[in-house]
Amino acid sequence: MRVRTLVLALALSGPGHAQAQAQVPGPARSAAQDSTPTLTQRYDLEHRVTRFDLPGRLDEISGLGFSASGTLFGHGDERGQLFTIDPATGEVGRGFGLGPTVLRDDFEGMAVAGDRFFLVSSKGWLYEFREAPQGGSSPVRITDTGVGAGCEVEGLAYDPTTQSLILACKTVIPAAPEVRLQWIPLDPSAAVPPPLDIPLDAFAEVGLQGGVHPSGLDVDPRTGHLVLVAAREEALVELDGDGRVLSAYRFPGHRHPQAEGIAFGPDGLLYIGDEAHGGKARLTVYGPPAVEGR
Amino acid sequence: MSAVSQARNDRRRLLGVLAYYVVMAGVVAALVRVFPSVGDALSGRGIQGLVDSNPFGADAPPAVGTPVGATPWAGGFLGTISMLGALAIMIPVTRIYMVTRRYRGFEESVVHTLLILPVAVTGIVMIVQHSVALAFSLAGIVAAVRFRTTLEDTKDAVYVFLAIGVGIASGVQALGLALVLSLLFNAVVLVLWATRFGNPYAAAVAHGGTMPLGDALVGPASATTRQVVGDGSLVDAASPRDLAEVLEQAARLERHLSEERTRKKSKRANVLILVHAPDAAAAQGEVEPILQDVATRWKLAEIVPGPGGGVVLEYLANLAVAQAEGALLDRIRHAPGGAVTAAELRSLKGLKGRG
Repeated sequence: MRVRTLVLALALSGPGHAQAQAQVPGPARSAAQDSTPTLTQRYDLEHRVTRFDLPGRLDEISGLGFSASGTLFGHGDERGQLFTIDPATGEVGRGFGLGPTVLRDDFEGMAVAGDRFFLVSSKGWLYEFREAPQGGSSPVRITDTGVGAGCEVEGLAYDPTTQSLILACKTVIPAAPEVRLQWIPLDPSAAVPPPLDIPLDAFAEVGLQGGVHPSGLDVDPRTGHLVLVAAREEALVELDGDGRVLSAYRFPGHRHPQAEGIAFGPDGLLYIGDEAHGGKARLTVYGPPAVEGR
Repeated sequence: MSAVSQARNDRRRLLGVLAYYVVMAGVVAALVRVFPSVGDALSGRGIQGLVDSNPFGADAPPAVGTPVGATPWAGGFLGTISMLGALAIMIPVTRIYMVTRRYRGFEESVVHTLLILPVAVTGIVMIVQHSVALAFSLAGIVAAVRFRTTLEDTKDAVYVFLAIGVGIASGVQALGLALVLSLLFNAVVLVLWATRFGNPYAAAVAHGGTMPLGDALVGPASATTRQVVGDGSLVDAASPRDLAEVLEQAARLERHLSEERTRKKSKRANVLILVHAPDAAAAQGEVEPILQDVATRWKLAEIVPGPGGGVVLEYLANLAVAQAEGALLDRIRHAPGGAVTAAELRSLKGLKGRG
């Protein structure tokens, strides 16, 4: 334990860390004022727990999510197919398809609410389906959230607190210097709140001067905070339910060349999926920081 | 219509097709901007609109968002865009078809088919999509109807294949792909047509500069066609300009050949001699004494402008002895005055009369 602590301390004081800190203020400088530890405090983002190369069928991994039973699923960018991923070995199963023939679209993220699975397309269409046996297919229900008319959707998450799906937009139409989040209640009779537009200046305060282009979204089940992954900026951003930026972290050294999927596991670990980007698609796992003891 | 004005008309038509594509791209871009759902018909992703909107049963939680493709109008709108798109994409193809087939001729029904077929195929593909049962039914129906139309030209069949391809692409809402298909197809057809790729007469021009009139009249190195002036296959292979020259020349020669047919067979001209020279009078001074010596009888039928600013003297002659042909050409080419630059001899034996 002491060795690991020493390594951690060296790593934190090393040049790579210094570079990351220079770009992004550390957790101590985050805007969070409450006592809840921030993402960067709860996870050791400097050191991954493990990393797996994913097979070719997930080269364009675009979303990650855990089912209620704790199975990790990943999906690609163009085909409505979900594949099981063994978090311990990185082994990818046969998966199942959406619809009688596998549907095609520009899928950007997934969310699971109980037994209801959702995929979202870049134009804001929701594909609702159920978990199906390996090699099988699920019926699918396709709906339009209407969000696509105002932005290009890039992330989807389920927020159990509000029982809503949250859609994250990469760009806003017409173009504006802001990141848009849209809550869509699962109950269609509930009023849909107006979109939450977060000005890019808010991200500049935590070191992301160039703004943020979300590519994935999930809700941390332990804090209820929203966590965005931004492929272009190679960064994670933590927000509260009101859209306040709590913390941000930029990965050093192109560790995540194109992070498109993010999921918090029931095991407390953080999973990030990267598209192949000229190499192999990868699943990277992060855990809590080392605890120092006597 | 002269060859020059014909070429001008062709250029105008082709520019019209190009302008059509540009305008169509602009209109599509504007439509997608105003009606984003039009983009579904372009990208191949509108297909999902036909999927069942409530597949989880009556007790399933209600849907989040507005069901897509739940009303027949949604599919109808998409279908309308796809079919109109297929039609719009095929219009320039038919224009190119008509331009490139002008001389060879084409049937109105083929042109109409090229416009109607993709619309029908689009509709059929949209109906059959996702249903293996419907696909088999369609195959059965087509087999029962037994279409057995024979197309005159292989290229017509290729056009029909293109129409089917555009229809299928439009049916799966990939109008963008259909547009690229049409553009590339037209570009290839135009390049082949303009360069006369694969045309033996064009190849002769490429290797030897401008094609000599004699070759244009009777065809290079063709034992079967060189005895027939105005041969159908020759006309087919020639460019519009060559064709006009050939027809004009053939018409002029025909007058002389008709006269020849009135003569006794033994006196009838049996060769056409084409003498290329920079100066007609000087060449006559050299050639005609030779003909006088070698031929039973001869006649200077025409003097026409030749390639490169010279003239071509067209002699009809009766050579009694077969071996005289080689000797005659040899003597003409090596005439001491040097007034002759080239000479050709074509047999008129077996020449068919008109009418």
